Amino acid sequence: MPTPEPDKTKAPRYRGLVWMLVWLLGLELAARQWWTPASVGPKLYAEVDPSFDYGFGYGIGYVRPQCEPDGDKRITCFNNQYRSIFRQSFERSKRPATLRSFTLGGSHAAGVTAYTTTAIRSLRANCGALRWEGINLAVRGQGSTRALVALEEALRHEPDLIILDFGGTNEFEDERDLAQRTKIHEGIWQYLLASRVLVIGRKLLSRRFAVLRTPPVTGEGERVASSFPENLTRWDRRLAANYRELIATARARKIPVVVVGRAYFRGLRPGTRALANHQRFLSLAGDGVLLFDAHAAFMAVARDQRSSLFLPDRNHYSREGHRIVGEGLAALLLRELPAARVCTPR
Amino acid sequence: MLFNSVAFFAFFAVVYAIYVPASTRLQNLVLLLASYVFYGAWDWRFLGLLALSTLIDYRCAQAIEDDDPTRRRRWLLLSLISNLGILATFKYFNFFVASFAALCDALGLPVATTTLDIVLPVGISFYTFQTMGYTIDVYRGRMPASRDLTVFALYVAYFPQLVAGPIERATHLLPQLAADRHITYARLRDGAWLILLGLFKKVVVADNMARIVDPVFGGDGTYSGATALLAVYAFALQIYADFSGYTDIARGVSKLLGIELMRNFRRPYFATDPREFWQRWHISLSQWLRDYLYITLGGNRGGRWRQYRNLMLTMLLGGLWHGASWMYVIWGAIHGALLVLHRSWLHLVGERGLPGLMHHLPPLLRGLLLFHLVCLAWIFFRARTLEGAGTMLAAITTDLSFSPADWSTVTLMFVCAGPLLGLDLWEEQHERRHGAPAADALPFVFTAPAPMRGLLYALLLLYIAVVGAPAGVEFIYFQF
Repeated sequence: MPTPEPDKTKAPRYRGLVWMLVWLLGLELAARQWWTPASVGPKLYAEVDPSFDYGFGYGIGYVRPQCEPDGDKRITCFNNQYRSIFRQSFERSKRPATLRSFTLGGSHAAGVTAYTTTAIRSLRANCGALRWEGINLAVRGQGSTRALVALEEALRHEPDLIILDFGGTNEFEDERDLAQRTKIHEGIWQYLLASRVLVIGRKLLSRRFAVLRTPPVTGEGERVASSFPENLTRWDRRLAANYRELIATARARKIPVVVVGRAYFRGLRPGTRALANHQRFLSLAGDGVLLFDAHAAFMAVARDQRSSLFLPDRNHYSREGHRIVGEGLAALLLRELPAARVCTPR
Repeated sequence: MLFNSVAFFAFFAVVYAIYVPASTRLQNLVLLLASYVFYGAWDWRFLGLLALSTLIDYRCAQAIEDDDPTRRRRWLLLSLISNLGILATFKYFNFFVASFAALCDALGLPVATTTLDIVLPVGISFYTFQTMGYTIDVYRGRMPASRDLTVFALYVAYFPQLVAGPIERATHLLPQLAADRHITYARLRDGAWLILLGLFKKVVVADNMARIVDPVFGGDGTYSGATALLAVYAFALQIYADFSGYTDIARGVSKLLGIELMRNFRRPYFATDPREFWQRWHISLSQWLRDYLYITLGGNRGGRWRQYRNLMLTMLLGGLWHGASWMYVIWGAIHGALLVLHRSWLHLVGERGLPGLMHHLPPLLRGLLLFHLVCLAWIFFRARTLEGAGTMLAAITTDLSFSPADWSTVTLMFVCAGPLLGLDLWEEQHERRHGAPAADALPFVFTAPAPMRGLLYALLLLYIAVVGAPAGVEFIYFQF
């Protein structure tokens, strides 16, 4: 039997451990209390989000975008390390005659210069009877799986319209990042990462040291993965299933959906996965959703000017390309959206 | 089941709950069963090998003790041949066959060879050396043969040190396993501290250094000399922190069980000559090699050249012990050459009265010189191929311009390994001042006021969690 050692000291022996727990708890409470945009500044807060999602450095998260109450009257969608959206605000209580749209998509729809901004501007100019609000939650590199999470965020804020733009080019990223995220959350880390002290500490450290960040993304992985037909098939199936789920979720709440079909350049550079989504885009019409065919809109432009509608990567739209898509989309909405009937004459 | 995994701590908690209230005999049975479960979790197929090795040495040692003095040697040979046979089959067979075929090819005599499609059993080098040491000790009359199979089987399979040492001497561990354990407050405290320290070394230092090392050693050679040099330094830190971290956890877990394991490291990078380095690095292996190989070969007897030969042979075999690769042999050869050079220098100084130039150099300079020679050997240890090592050396010797990324790596190395180096420095100073080994923890770790101690523990835990690498990486020495 183990023999207990004679007690030679009078001081309680485990007081150090009790103090350790007190310190840990205190630090955690302090982090939860003080790590806010107001105290550390919105820029640092955006880079060092206290919640943990995908990686310590950067990456697109699987959590909802951060649209939080900003004062009593407004809601602001913050840019953070997991969502490179631009900062946007809208009213907390939607005023009457407001039409609030949310855009979910990848790089084609992302950013303040994307076609959604043009579309909203055009709608405001052509229909003063409605207050048009456009919140763009599209993120570069976001695929349709992450859009399911982004849709949850949109649905929290009384949307009147959901605009979807996924061409299937980001399904690889969704899959790869989900695998990495799952790995990071394995074992004890699923519990440890609930600590804000730990998450903030690791993120601050990863800002300083590149080697601690999630490995940088290169095109090689996607190129290799795209060379396997079974991967392409799986991504296609998932994209179609996610599209249907996004549409079904929105329609269950009686929210109209517009799907924006991709315009594509015929001579894709080697290594770029074919944007063969047009057929899929057309097949969604069966769900009674509005379809905007960006490709058809581009085809209406004179042949010798079409190349100027794309950036040099021959994939993303140029400013002119965005303008054509935005104005075309606005025209479609004015023409087909039931809520836009007030915008007479048609 | 890695020491730094939740699974291990859950496993240990269950074992400990059964172990503590049990009688000594039951404690041994619990530990033996736990050890077999622990080993079986790696690969249950090799449990038979472990049991076979145990039975052979158990029986051979008894026969050595009981049998006619003229036949004792045969039993020893049986034990050695069995152990070395197992090791040769599972670890070296393919290596020797491939080397033989390569040699024949080089001589223009191509031969058809067969290799075995087998997996290397985890920890085989450690437990075969441990059991061989036992039978040799019994043969040399240094200890009686064990008559309790449970105790002896536990000595072979004791899970805290089964897969990566320390290679315990039977004279040290067997009596502890046979006796009652005393789980004292001091042992619990020291054990918990060692576990924490070991986790720090593994998760914060070793695994983060791996992030610097792996891309360079595993890359295509397109790195600057500065990056390569930093990768070598990082590997020196990685392998030290990885292995000594494992040993600390093993010692800590053992202390909780009321059993003392030997120290395997004593701040090796503070050594100032090659002999001292091997008195500080992987102490259990270097002592084993000294006592059972070097001395058996003749040791310091029989003249200077015979001594050099013995040193070289011992280090070559020590290198080969690490793995079936010529790179490990080269690593051993470099260390052998360093030991021979050092020994011959001492002879020169002693015989011809040459001024002890080396000893007039400040210890810091001698230490730095030795550290870089050790790093040179690490390049061959880690590079896997001669070509890779050559590329690395060529880069280091041609372009040593530091880019901002390299400076960032330097800072990261200090952030991760700084506290460890600080602790080692304190221990070294303490030992030099007081002439006695320092305790495993700084004195104030246990004597400071409770709030300060609590803060220290909390910060250490946070440091491990914040700076530690998230993914579980195997300990390097598991592969040996």
